[in-house]
Amino acid sequence: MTDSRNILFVTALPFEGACVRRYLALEAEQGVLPTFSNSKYHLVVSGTGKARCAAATGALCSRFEPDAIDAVVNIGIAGAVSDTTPVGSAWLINQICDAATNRNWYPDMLAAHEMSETRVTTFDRPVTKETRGVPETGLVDMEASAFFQAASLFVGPEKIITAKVVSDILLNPPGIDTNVLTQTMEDALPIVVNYINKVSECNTYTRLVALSETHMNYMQTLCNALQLTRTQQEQLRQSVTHYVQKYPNATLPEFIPARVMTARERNTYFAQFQKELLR
Amino acid sequence: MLSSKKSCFANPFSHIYIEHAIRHHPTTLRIINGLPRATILEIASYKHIFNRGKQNFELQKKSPKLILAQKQPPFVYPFSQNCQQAGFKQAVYVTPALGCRFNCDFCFLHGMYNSANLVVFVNTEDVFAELNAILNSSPSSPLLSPTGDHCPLFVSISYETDLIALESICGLAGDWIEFCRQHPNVFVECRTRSGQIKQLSSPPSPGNFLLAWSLNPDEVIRRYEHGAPGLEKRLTAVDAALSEGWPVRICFDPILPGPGFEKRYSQLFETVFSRIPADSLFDVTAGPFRMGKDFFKRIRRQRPWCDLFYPSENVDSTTTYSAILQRLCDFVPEGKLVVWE
Ligand code: SF4
Repeated sequence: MTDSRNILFVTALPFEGACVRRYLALEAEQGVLPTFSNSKYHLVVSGTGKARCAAATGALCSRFEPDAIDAVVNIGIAGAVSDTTPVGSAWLINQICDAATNRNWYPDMLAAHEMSETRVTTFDRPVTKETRGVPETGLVDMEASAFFQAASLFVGPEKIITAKVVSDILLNPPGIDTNVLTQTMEDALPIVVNYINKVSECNTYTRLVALSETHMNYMQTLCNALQLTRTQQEQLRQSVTHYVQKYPNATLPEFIPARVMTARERNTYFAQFQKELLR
Repeated sequence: MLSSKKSCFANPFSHIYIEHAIRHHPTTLRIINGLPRATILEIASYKHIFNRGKQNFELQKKSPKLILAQKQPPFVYPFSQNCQQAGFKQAVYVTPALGCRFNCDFCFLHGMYNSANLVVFVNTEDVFAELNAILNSSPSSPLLSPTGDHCPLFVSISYETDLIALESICGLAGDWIEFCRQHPNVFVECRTRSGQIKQLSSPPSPGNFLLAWSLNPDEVIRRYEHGAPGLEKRLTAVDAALSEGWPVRICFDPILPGPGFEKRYSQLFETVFSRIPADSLFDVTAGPFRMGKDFFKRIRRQRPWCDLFYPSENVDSTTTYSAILQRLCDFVPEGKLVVWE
């Protein structure tokens, strides 16, 4: 339980990463993977494809306690299946399908937003309209399913966000101007970050009150003074957690560290103390 | 801590997940017609949404989604020994939906499901078919009484949900009311904390569809029955149901322990029975807060702020419960009172 809120980004391509880095003013970090950070946002550029994306997502997520992660975001370009989908349009993904396994994943869509939603199908290699298994609707990419699976190891589906910007209609016409794509990504980023902030705000509504260092010291002192058994230590931890959630602004009841002589005295004293905590 | 502000959340049922198999089922179409702004996603199985790991139950409660699915057999379950059967020899329950619009702290559903999203099984006709088969079956069926009597079959339809609270969206209670009209040998119980019965079918009500309201003092409702209507709304609904001729059961269940709760429940009984004569009711039931060990432990972890899961030695719940029951006996004639110990 901690209050720091970290938002993690994973992009596949360097130009996508550069857009995120510029927009969020991130500093380069040392490491095997291209990673960029400031106090709140963190970015890794994974490279193309499912394996790289899963590895990079896992590496970035594992740097944080899961409770300290507010969102894990995959943002990047994707191809559209239908000619009617505008190139440059930004989409929030509500369903991710892996073309190879036909498995589906569903992020929780809890935050209010005004973006358009669609599904993305992840392929192992670039596809055209003629490729077998290309769906009739939605977008196609090469990372989303791996990203979702890797992120799911760390956080719940309400914290996993996939946002895609349409780069082309399945490579038709082929050859994509990177300058145009950069502009497209830059236009989409404020909208996506706005959504991420909403998700982040939603997360605050069930965040438990964190046990502070004072609470920890309090429990430790009590454990030492009374030489509590393991079971009693666990009971104390639960009661303190309950007390802190119930009275977030109150200080814990004072205890007089009695010089406990026998186990019986200790148990009596502890029972009285528990009573006070659960009043 | 939980907060009541929730402007950042999408509206409840902003998304409807529909299993391919029932995409064009009449009940599916009826439900999606009633929610024209919802985003619709087709899925292979409701379990792909409902059973996912690491779901945040509390957050999902702020913006629950609807999942429409096809119930697979078994459609009908015999009641366990521990469940109330209203004196009927044969009692079964069905699960037309999983999950609830309300968010009571003491609800076993939080311990049972990973998800606060709502699953609605649209193929009610399959449940009706199985019930028909039971009704027509030989006396050797385990669901018939040991003597083979064709006493009415008791069916609880609101066991893992509050069907009346969902009626404006799903209309499933209406289907059950029609079933009751056509099957006088079935007696259906539908438990609710809702304050609405307008959406139920127009009178005359069938005499074999029992509306069972769970009531608690307002302070308990505010503290533990999040999102559920207050006492006055429920009593107004009870009044309306009785005047329309529905059989009504009042459930004081669970009666919760707490400092000063003896007085609060006493006041509750006075309020209820000064307005609703006990004689006009089908019956009155009462039961203490009870929950399986595993669910208790799980919910205690999920809701560390809730004092129900941190029983204080300062409150002697057994004595409080007995005293409350004794007070209830002053208001309800013996033959009308069913008590859980
Ligand atoms: S109304 Fe009933 S089903 Fe719904 S949350 Fe409360 S106890 Fe559970």
